[in-house]
Amino acid sequence: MDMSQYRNLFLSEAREYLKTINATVVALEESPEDRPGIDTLFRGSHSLKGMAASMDYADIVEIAHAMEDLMIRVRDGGLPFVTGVADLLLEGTDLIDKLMGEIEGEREPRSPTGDLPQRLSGYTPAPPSAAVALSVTDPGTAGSDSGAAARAGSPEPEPERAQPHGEVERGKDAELSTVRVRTELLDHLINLTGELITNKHRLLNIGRELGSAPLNEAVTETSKLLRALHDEVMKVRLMPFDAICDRFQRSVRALAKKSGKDLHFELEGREIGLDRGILEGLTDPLNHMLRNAVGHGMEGSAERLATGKPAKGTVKLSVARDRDRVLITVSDDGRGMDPQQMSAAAIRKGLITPEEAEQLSPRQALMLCCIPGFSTALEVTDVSGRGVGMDAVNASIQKLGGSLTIESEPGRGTRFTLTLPMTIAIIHALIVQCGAIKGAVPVTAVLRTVELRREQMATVGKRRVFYLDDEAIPLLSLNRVFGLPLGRFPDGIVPLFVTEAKGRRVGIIVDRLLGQHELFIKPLGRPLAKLHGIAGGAILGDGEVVTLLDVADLL
Amino acid sequence: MEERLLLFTLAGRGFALDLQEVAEVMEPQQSFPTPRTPGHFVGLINFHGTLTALVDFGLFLGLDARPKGLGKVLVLDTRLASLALWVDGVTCVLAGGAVSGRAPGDDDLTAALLETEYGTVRLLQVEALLDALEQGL
Repeated sequence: MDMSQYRNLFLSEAREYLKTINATVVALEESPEDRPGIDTLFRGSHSLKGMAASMDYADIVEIAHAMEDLMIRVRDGGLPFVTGVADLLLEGTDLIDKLMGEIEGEREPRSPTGDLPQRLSGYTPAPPSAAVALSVTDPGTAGSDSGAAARAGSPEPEPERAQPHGEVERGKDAELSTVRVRTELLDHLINLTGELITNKHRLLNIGRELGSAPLNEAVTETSKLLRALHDEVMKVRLMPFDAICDRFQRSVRALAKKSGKDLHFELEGREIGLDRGILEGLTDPLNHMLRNAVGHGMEGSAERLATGKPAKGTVKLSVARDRDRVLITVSDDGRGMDPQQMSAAAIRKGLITPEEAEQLSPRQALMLCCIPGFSTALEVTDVSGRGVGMDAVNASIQKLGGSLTIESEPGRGTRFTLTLPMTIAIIHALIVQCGAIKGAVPVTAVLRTVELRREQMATVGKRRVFYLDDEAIPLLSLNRVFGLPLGRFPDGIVPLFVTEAKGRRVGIIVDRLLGQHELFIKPLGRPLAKLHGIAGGAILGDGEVVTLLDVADLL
Repeated sequence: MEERLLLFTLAGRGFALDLQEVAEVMEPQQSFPTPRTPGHFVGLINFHGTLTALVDFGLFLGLDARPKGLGKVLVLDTRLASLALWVDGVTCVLAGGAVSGRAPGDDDLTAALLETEYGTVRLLQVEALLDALEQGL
């Protein structure tokens, strides 16, 4: 029988199980006596084994079976859920994931199971003196089951767990009311919706030209329907943040272990939905921030105790909805960042002048860490690299149409907040013109627009600036960035928009501000996808094509 | 399936593309300039909803410029790239069997030099062309 048609289904379902197992292992390290968690691990291993057996994937069966054996000993045999158990289970999921990658790539199996099945089945915890604080035995389980020790050595085949009747029914209902859809189909749906929105603007233009009231009315009605369609399609594309959480838990756990730091990792808001495209773009930046939090932000236990803090630090990743935006925060209760030290370091490195440093607010000084090459890391570690990369993080967030802010208090901790749109395919953008070029700037990157009179400009050092809220905002010409002749502005009014680049507000002068538009963003493909500073393009209602400017990258 | 080639001209010289790599041949149409691109990138065109970079292929190769507005636009298969080449004219579609001689290409962009009834033509390597265009950005 040809099983290939079931392969993708197996891979997709097995990955969900692996994700659950990984998350539960990490959670159990915090609460090793959590019985439902232990049951989840046992059921997950058991289900993986059954699914792999039905596909004849012997190596996966062997590992999952050994994981199941180990969990039987934890569940029924009084084996404490210690770090050694967690390590082995995670090693097991890693290997299964690797094997699944080989299956997916239709490659010959190259990842030997080695002695992992034996190590899983025959695991013996270290003597109590070497055990870490997480090794807490469930006294109830250990004491009440006299046959447990005997079964631990030779686990019996596990019968299917009997589910309560109601749970089975709910499961069936959910199965009947949901359907798996290929992500390509969802991408196609959003593309079609985007095209319809572009055409709506075209019809609106025609309606205006013709001055036809019935046409305008019909288009307005269509607009409402399109908005509803767009919202529904976007909802379908939303994936819970949970989809990428697994790797963060693993990453923080591994880094904390490697750097010998005792910390508690909290995750909140896993259920919040984000567009698939945004989730994909978030993984690396968030991982980087978490690495920084563990590597640089968090002190060692001795240092924490000396400053009156609990020995165990906390790193928190939380997600929350704020209307049509999503707020993601990475926070720690570590040593924090000092704005004055940040400014001093930036002056020392020649990134800013002392005069410029004086103009910076504490918040702006903290954002200096987003300037390429900036690092205040006291030492280079292999945990968090060289402390560089916040510039890349900031650029990635801006590419997704989001923004980054930093709050910190020396000695108390740091909080990075990412504000992101829920979707990236359809955005609101400010259209600007420079020479013959029309560009779109996401409104999320525009702090405000200004029509400046020439006499409002001043010169500080060698820079042209204007004052906004008593702050000297440097001015840059987008024409110059594009290599075009500078605008002339015969009426003495200079149009500009204020954005944030490298942690500082900056005024970008353009030839004209053409107003805000709703745009369906399309990728540029090869070869222009390689062009720095351009994040895509869009077709306006009149058929004109505009490029989406990634201002941070351009500057 | 027998190879078929699209023969086209630039400044009096003959070129060819594998017909499978070409999605459509169009008349020159309105394009919209892109910032920070070399001069041979004329701009973006809307090819059935796909944003496509229009490259003046003659300018890219350093050949004589054609009179403005003339020529043809060869849009490459969208699975390969979002790229259209502005050339002087299209000669014909030629069956591979009509190629009388084949020599190795003498530069990175040329897969082979083909002898045809229209003279010697350069069969282009699309991948190498894309690499060269990307490197110039």
